[in-house]
Amino acid sequence: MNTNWRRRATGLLMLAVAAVQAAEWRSWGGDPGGAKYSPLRQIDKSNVARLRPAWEFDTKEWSDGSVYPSRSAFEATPLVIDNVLYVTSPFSHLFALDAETGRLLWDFDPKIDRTMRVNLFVNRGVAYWSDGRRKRILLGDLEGRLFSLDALTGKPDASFGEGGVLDLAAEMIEGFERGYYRLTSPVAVCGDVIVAGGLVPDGEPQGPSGDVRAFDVRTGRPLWRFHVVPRPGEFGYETWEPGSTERRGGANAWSVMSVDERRRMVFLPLTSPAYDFYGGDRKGANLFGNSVVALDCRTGRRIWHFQIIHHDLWDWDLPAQPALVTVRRRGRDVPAVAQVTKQGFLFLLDRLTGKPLFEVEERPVPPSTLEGEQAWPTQPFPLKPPPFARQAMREDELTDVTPESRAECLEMSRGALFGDSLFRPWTEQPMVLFPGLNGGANWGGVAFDPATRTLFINSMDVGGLFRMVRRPEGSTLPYRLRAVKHEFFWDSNRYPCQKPPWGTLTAIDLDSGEFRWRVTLGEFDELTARGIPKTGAPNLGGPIVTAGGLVFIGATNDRKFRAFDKDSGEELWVTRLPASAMATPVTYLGKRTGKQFVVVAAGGGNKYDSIFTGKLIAFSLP
Amino acid sequence: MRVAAAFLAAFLLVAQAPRQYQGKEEKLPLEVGPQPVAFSHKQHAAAKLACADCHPGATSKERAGLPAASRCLACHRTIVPDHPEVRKLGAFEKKGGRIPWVRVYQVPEFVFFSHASHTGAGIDCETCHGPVAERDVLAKEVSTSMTACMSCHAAREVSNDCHFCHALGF
Repeated sequence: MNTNWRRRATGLLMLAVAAVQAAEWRSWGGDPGGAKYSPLRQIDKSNVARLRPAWEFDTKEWSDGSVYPSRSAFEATPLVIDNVLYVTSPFSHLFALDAETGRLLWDFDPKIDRTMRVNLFVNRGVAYWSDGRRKRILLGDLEGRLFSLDALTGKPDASFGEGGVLDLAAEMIEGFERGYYRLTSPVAVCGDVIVAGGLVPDGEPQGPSGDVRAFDVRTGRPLWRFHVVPRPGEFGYETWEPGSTERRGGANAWSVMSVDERRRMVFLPLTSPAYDFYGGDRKGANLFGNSVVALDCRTGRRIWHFQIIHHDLWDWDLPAQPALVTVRRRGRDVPAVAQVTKQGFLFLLDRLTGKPLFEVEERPVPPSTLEGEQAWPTQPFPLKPPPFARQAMREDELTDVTPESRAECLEMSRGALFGDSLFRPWTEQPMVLFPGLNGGANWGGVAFDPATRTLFINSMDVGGLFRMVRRPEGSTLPYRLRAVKHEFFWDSNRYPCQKPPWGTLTAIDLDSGEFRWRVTLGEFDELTARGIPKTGAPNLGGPIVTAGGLVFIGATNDRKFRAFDKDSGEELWVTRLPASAMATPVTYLGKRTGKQFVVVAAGGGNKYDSIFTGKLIAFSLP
Repeated sequence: MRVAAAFLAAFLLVAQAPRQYQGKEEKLPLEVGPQPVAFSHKQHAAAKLACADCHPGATSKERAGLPAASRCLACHRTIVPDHPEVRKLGAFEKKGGRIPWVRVYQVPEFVFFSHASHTGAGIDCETCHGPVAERDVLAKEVSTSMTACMSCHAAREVSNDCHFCHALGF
């Protein structure tokens, strides 16, 4: 009797704890599996139009490239734990705020070198660990350091690493004069194990290793290391031309990993081997480049892998956190992994085996005409769902939104090879690439509604226009890729060079693999004002979905934040921001007021906006 | 009135000052290892040789190029052929002609720097290489760091878009 009562009480307590935790945002992706789903329903379809700004916090930290040579991107997703909101600036500076007022509680600045030359100053957020007694915030920085901080005070935990910090870069960059190792995304936490990937250069064939490593969360003691480029004798080594794995860079995990806590599995989204655009010196399929890899997080043992691009030549890194979802197959729940890609595919894999849940076909793709290059003859194409991004552009699809834009795009692409095939290798002739280097999908990834088993994915439909340039004799590589004019195939107003749409939001039924709906995401106000139907806009950052029936998303470079009806795709609310919110929002319940907040970083900048801010903005009902 | 004018002038000066990016300073001058042949830029410049006479791509190609023994010997077969340094040229020619010059200025391979584009835009060699004609032995005197390049581009209103100079791949 007594035992029964205790069991029930324990069960009730666990449910209560789970409910409180679900009302917060304790992991980068909402939960360790990255579903970006909130069970909150205070803000719903009926009242979302009444959302108002509740508070604002300004980190005052950004770089527009005028003082420091590198620009910044405020891509942070905050965590909210025990009514404290943790957010990082692009300089890896951590701020702890009262989640209901935005009042600063404490901050921790790792003081990175702001004169360093980086693609972008960026930090996507932090990770959290607690054993019930100790509460730690794990902060990575652009210098490759990992800090363990007391979640209440921000003080480094002296028992972790050297005085609260682990130098993850030192071991990796040794022997590389220009090498770097940076932490731009939060580490994964699996039980008491930290799993860390990092950003390494992929502009040179040889460089710092992208191996994924694990550390004890209490002490920082190294636990295991997974070789993303296999070493002699290891599985996958045979997928490389003999000798080509030596000091090979890339194939790293710069994006966010996900964790199945119950099964003690960690899922890595790995990227292209270096150099990303020419692989004549790394012939072969190049495992584990561009693969989803499932590891036992206690040992680092590989459980399965699925390679999504063989011998990548397009820098189509797996950019997004693999989302852990549950789908229905023949009346049964099947745990799965949903991996979206820059090239606009969604691969749905069995979480336990890595086998595709929708058939995947290896299709022949064009060979390379470049000296020394040997493109892989086939690439995987999932038969379902359909691609969520534009994957090719014909010349007759050149923009017609304005005569000026058309003329500029026409001039830029004169003599270019227009894509008739995904996976066409580069040539010395300029070539239009679709999707462009930033996707398709990117690090913002997906949101998943467990009730309807619907996955939401935003896509940026912006191409690239590049050509291979032969390098002088004696160079490390015979070719390097060069932009014809811009990093993206767009005009000087950032209007993409193809006919719209330029950005979309798609809802995909993961049981059937069919689209539920697809809408244009974003607009250019000046074009809309001229009567041009909404074009969609370049976008970067992800969606979240709530039990209130809403999908919240910023991402677009039109400086707007939106909520959509998750069932129909109807835009129910839109608000203007001081700068574009190229970040993923979060939602949580304030413990004092009982109010549901939706918070997003509206930092602008990046490569898509000319306004830069350090503003984090919270919305709630009046 | 005079004070106000001075303030205005100072403001305009600051407002119009070319943008200087903050970055790690290179330690200059940077001396490089001994050259295989003791070549004096000063002496050759005084003899009215143009840069492109020895660096044939300096105004027409991406790379300026470093002279092979045959180019030097085109003159030195008759001019001071018995000078000990000139004799070294003969030795290099017998081994294929390449002289293992130690490069003083070099940008990384992922940077597209075209000598032809820069000289074509009216940039003097001295802008990037310093007062070469006044030096017997060259050391690196002008920074070729990214911030230096960007500051120069900004001052001349030339694009500082990453991909204007950089190969794709970070």
